[in-house]
Amino acid sequence: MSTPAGARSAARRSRGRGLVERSAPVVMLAPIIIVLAALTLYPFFANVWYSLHARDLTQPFQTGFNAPRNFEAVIEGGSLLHALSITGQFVVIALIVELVLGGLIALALWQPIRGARLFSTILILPFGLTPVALALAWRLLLNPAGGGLNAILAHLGLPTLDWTASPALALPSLILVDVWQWTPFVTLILLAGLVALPNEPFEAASVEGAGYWRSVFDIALPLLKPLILVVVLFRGIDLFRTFDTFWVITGGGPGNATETLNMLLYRLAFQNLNFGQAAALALVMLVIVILCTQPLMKRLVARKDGR
Amino acid sequence: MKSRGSNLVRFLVLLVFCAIWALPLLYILRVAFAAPLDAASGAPSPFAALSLENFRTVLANPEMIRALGNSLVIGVVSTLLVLAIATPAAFVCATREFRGREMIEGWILSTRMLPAFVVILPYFMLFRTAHLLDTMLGLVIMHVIVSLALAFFMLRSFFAELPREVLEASYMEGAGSYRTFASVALPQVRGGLIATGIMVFIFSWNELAFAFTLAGGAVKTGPVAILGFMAFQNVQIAPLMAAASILIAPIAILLILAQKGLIRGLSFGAVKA
Repeated sequence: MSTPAGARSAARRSRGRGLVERSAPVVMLAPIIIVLAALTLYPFFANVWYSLHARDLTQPFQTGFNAPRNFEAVIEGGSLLHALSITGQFVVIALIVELVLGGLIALALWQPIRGARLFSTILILPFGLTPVALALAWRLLLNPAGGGLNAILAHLGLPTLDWTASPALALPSLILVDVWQWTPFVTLILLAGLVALPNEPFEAASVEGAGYWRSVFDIALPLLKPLILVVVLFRGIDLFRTFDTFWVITGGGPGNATETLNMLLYRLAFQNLNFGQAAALALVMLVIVILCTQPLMKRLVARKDGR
Repeated sequence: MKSRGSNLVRFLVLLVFCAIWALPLLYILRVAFAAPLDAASGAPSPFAALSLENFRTVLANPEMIRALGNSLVIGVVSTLLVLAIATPAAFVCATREFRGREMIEGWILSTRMLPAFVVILPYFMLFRTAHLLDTMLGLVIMHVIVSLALAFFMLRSFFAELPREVLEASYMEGAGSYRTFASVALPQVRGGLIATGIMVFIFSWNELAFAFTLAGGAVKTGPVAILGFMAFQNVQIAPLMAAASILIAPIAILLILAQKGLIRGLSFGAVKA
């Protein structure tokens, strides 16, 4: 119901008003459509083209048609499956932790509490401030030799950890950074949803003697499902796209312990200068994104129109 | 649903959470304002003396200053362009019903799903041919393209909140779409325009992937320059954190001014917060 009857009838009336008025929506929409077509269509076809050709900048004279080779090479190198697994672990674990932790903090902020404004101001900084600057700070904090976190651990008499220097802990370290950076975002979105919930179902439930957690799980959670969908979609896609944190803190290392699809693509394109293979990988990533987001997107757009 | 008596518990939980969450930010400031120190000497004591020495080091570096200037120009220009392109479209989609509207909106939303690296390669090749690599114009183009969907949905949510009667009255009086847009709708969403503009600027200022791969030689933005600063001053962590503070200070101010805009923007208007 984004247009009430009145505006519709106005639109109908304006239909008789000549070309200028009739073409208005098209004219006002045209610029964004043209620019976004440039964003989506050109890279898509260019990626398809490059992925089908040998385009190794270190061998400029070898530029023939090279249909399945690039895809084969990316898969056979073994880096693709490894990067896929690293990306998958990063996205899934961080998403779950952020949802649970963010949800709990949102519950704590639900009822009016002193200092709520200050809390939300502090919460907005981690995901609003320049990621590179924050990642640099985390790089220093996670430094195994004399870094801030190990200093705290040592101070508390706990054993220190190798953090980003150890292949086993590097990915968990980056998940920790992302959880720090983005849990507040999940909190603030879920909080906005909680605050907007109607009171009646909860009052009815409390009359019937349902406890706090009972009403959270049986009433709040189902009502918030569309919003949780929004969080999963946007957080999921942003986790998949994360670059700054990896680039600044580990650069994909140690070894290739934190080489996500993004980092692999960067290595293929700008270090190996093999644009054919990089383009093939870009297409693989595109397919993954489409497969993962389409079901969510459909429900999201359907919900928007039901408003 | 009052959970009686648990207010103190809730307050303490939040306090601990916020303290832990603020720690890395306080760390940046503490190191930035400490006497110059290197990575080997570890974290400064929380009570060490304050010093402005690191800021003097950073501000004496012409490359850093130039990069901040570049970021400012790229951010302002791309923000104005994004608003000019997205606002009329958002108005049309929020207030008019027409065939294909859902399809167009779904498609605009889907452009947000593209990983930067899927588009970087083709644009690298295109920019190389068009001599746009390592130019301000090239980065403006990229920042406009990636922020359009965000701005569109944010603005759309502001236009959708306009009272219908106001728009209807304007159409009744014989004003066309353009008149209604420019002299009735626009003045009413001024706050929304500003919030959207701030968000687009912040995205441009914070952006690394394009700024790093499509420029970064002659034209550096703030985030790229600070990475160079790191390589240059590898062990000098105090000036590095001073540079980080300078980079995030303007964004912190903008965020506090437009808190709610960020949630709305990042959720594409789905959450008004």
